Amino acid sequence: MDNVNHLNELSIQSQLSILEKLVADAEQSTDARRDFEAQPRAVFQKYGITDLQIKAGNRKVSLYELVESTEKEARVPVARAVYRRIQLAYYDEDTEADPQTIPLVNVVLNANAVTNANIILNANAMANANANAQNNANLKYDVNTMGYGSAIFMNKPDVVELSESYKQTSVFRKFDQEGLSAARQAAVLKTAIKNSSSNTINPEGASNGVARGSYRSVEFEVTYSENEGTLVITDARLLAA
Amino acid sequence: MISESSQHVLFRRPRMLTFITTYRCGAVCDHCLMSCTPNNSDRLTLPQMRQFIDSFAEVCVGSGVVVFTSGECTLLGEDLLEAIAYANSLGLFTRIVTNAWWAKSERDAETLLNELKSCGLDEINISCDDFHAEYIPLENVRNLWNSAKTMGFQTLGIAVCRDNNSTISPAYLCKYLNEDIPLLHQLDDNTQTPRAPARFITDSGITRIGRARNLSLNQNARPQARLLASHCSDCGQDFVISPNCHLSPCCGINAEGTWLFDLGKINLTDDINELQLLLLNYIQYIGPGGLLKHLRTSGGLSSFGRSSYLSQCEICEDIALSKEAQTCLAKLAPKLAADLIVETKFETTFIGNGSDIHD
Repeated sequence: MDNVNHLNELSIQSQLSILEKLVADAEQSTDARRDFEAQPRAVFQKYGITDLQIKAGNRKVSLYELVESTEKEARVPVARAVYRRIQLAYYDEDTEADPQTIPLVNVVLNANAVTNANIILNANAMANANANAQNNANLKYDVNTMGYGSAIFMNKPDVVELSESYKQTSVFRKFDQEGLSAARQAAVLKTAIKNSSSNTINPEGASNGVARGSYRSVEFEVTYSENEGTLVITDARLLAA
Repeated sequence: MISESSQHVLFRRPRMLTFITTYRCGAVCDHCLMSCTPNNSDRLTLPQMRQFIDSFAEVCVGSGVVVFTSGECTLLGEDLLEAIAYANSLGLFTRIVTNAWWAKSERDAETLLNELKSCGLDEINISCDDFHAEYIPLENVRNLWNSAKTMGFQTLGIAVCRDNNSTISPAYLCKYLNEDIPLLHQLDDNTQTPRAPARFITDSGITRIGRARNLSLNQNARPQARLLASHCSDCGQDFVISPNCHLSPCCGINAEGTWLFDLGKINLTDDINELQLLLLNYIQYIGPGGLLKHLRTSGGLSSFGRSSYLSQCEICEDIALSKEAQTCLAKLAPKLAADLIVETKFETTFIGNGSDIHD
């Protein structure tokens, strides 16, 4: 609780509620917004909001000074962001722990960026920001459509290319007769190669190998080269069909 | 190309391409996000899926994953196998989400699993809960599970969705399958490389969206303050393609036809409407709760939405289905953009990279 001076839990909740009201008032009323933009300290005091001392990295920032240091047009959005940040830090759904960090910084906004006619485009400028590094407030295990998995953490799998020489082989013709497209054949051959441990490394660093596999009643041997994430199928022969 | 277009702030590090392959499904679950039915014929074609896979293979970051879900993706038959193999040949991982209707016996399960394996399928998620069990016997899930777990798939998971009245739970399934299957969050919360091959169960609450929009639930309330203040880190991260070939950045609700999340019949690299772009970024960085508050305060729609929410997806669907919200948020765009600028200013400084995104 050392992030917020002299405030107990109840008073933080109270301060949060008041800050929320202040922001809402400023966003609904032109007069309230103008007053806050002109004299934020006075409005904070009028609402009864303490000058919270909030930790920002290794230093502490005064709420009053933080808002006063921004351009007028940015003061309401800054107050809203402060409110949201404190709320996120304060209400930890899993642990109900006290705020560990209230991540505020010395925001010195360019007022033109906020009032510019191209405001939407300016908002897009955050393309380089790192959303994933944000304090993780995302609620987990909501239903989604795509499910879950671990492959995304694995190394990128190989691309497979079927060479022209492979397409002259009896294996290609057999699979073609079975109705397997080039993509299906590539997948079958790749599976056989990945399940094989017969790879050899040549002096150039590329890997060459021969692997055996089967698909339905077709047994085959495949010859390939592997270099920089690409498997090139160079030859194959039928063992049984 | 997305990677060459700095104007695209969505999809900037895409890792996943999700095909909502069809709205057709043999089950008519009360909680279905997509409101699927057995008679809906909307579906993606193989050429359409190939086209998106080609684009995704060029723009995805690291180990891209192509997910086939719906609806019931296995109803696509050979087209599903072809699409999986095609993605596999381009160096992408693949996952299916299925209700196991086809695993009527272990032999049936093995037959299709062998085909899927030969196509290079890496991951299988099985949807299983009280709702699915009305239409799909639990025995199918057991057939699929028992057959698949020895076949070397990278991931084999069961997704449970329930409220407090539900019978089927992770514990119930562990007992039924006679296996101590870990909950997903026990696998290091997905923040570290999980064990492989991973088997897990996920345990989700029910979200009142799609067909479940007005479903009466016995579910514990979530703290509203935090829910309304949370951002959605999934929004805009990955590509979702609907059965009618519309692009969306949302994995939680049925985006097709909504003014907010349906980006239209466009390619992965096309431009996106500016208002949508702003609001989607707002959801990603600040959250749908922020939009809700704006609607209720500066937007003047004081009674908009529900009195309490169980998930962010419910907020998003309420907004995305409302033309009134669209009109209101369009008027509020400058305020929202200002919020966004401040938020991202905080962010970039807080994470310590020292860059000012507005410089």
